[in-house]
Amino acid sequence: MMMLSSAVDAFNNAYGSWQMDSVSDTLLNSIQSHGILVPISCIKTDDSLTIIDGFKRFRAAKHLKITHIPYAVVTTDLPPETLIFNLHQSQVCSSAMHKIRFLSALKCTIDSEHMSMVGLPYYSHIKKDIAKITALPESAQLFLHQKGFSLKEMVNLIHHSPDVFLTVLASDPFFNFSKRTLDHVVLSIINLMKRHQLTIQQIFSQTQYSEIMNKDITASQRLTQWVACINQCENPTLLAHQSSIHDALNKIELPAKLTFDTTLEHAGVTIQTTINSEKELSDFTSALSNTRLKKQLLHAVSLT
Amino acid sequence: MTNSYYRDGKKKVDFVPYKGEKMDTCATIHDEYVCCNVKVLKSVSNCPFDCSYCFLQNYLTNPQLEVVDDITRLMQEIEIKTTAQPWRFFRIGTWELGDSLALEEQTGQAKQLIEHFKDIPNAVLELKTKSNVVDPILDCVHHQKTVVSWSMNTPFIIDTEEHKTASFDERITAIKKVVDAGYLVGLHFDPMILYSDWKQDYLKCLDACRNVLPPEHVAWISIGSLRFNPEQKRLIENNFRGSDITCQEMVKGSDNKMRYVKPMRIQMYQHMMANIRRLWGENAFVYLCMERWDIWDKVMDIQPRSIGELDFMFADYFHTTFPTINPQIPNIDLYKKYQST
Repeated sequence: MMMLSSAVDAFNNAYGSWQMDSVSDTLLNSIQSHGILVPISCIKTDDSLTIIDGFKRFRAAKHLKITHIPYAVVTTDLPPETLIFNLHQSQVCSSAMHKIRFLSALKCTIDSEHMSMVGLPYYSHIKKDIAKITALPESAQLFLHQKGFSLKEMVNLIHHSPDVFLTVLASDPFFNFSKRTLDHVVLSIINLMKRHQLTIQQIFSQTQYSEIMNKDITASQRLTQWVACINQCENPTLLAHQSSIHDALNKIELPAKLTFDTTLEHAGVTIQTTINSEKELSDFTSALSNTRLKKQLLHAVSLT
Repeated sequence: MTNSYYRDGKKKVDFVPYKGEKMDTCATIHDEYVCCNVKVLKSVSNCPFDCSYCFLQNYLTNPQLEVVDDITRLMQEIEIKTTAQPWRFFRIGTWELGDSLALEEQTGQAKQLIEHFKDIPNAVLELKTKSNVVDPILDCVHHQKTVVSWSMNTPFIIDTEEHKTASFDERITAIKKVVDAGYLVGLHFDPMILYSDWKQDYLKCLDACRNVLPPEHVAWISIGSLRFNPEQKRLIENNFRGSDITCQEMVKGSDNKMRYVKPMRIQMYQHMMANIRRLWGENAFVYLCMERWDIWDKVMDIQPRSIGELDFMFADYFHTTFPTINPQIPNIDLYKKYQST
């Protein structure tokens, strides 16, 4: 291995394009103060120097407008994807998005061997799925990488319509989605679109998206309100029944807590009370024997 | 990962030897739901069909399509178990992990089982299918000890969700053939699936079934609705990109399965129940699959309070309606006492 130096323009960083993590300030400061101490590693391809290790050092150098970079040429028979995967395994495997971008940057054939190498499942429509994911804008890919979405989760988000994901993601500054909440919102909107054959704009309108987005409240408060509206649209039958059971229970004047299974799966009303004295017991039993109350209770039970 | 992809195993049938016990109780049994206590013979594993809602995509650890080729050993196990409980009227199906008839032309398994079951005094065989492969069994001597049953759905659901299965019309033609061959027939309207035209489509489906299936040939009719494990939701959405079945309003039950919300299920079942009674009369044996007692109360005209009680009702129905098939007077106490066996 010979150590040399060359102009920045002489390097080809195509194999490093999968990396999404930004160059840290620590590295930038170090290179600014001391230059690049460890030469970047390259392989010679035709007339260019293709970087195989030192991607971040290269990006830092470019950022700092350093004109010449020290490098060493590695001679190997290994195919580039094997070489680079072995050098950067932990970084490639830091997210499913990185793995996919790695395969794409290295122009790997999407086959069981390469999928197995990076630890992704291979199935019949994986090529289409990967094409859809890599076609997403860089900002969307960065979000998926940073939030640690698995391949399955990414596919779920975009297979019905990447537009829904991208439209929801575009409102991230207003809602500050976590992985879980973005997933919930996107999949709920897709469900509603499928169920009612509506467009995303119609769903937005039904869930008061614009009104909530324009409110002068925190992102977290906006998200809570929007998710509540979405849930209301997703579960109209359940919520209507819950409401009528609540109404029926609220009319019952019994010294006890009355509850029911809000999924409606378990029928019946639970009566919960604590008896501390003979008087409390007497009040409770006489209330229960009241004919009007019995009717009200049975009505509530019949709704469950 | 490649080897365990569930569709890969569907392409070729492997014949495998008999290993371990193959007869068991239907896997969906759960204390909080009324289960019919049907027994299953796991003689087939995986299925050449590709229904979007099928639990096998989330269940099978070995995706290879396999058929047990040792009928003698299978029948020995059945004979031992049916003899051990002579008071019980067994219903034994071969459909739990696959389709009972789809592979019949390659395996001949159903034909052999029919021949054996005709001589078991206290059991009927249920061959449940979504195929129209009935020609190989039409000439069998069955003594009505085999019930050929269909998982029926509307033409829309068959076309959009039950991939590679026989069409609605093909199934109707097949029902006609087995009725003409003297078999009793079971109908399973399960899973009922909600979509915009479900009400009129299920009605048309019932009418078409009634046209080929007279009441005296009905062994049983079951009704159930779509249900799946939460983790299966995403599998369905991934494996069947065009399917809309997971988008309806659902809740998770205590058996950890997602179902339509109860008011919707009740509406669906009441619609079916009313029309089944109109078409096949008051005597036809109709039951719900995997529902709670309270739904039975709201929908059905029989209200079993335990698994044993429903099992008894089957036996009693057969004894009174088809006394040559179940000549024995069933004892409800035994059915209740041994309901978990």
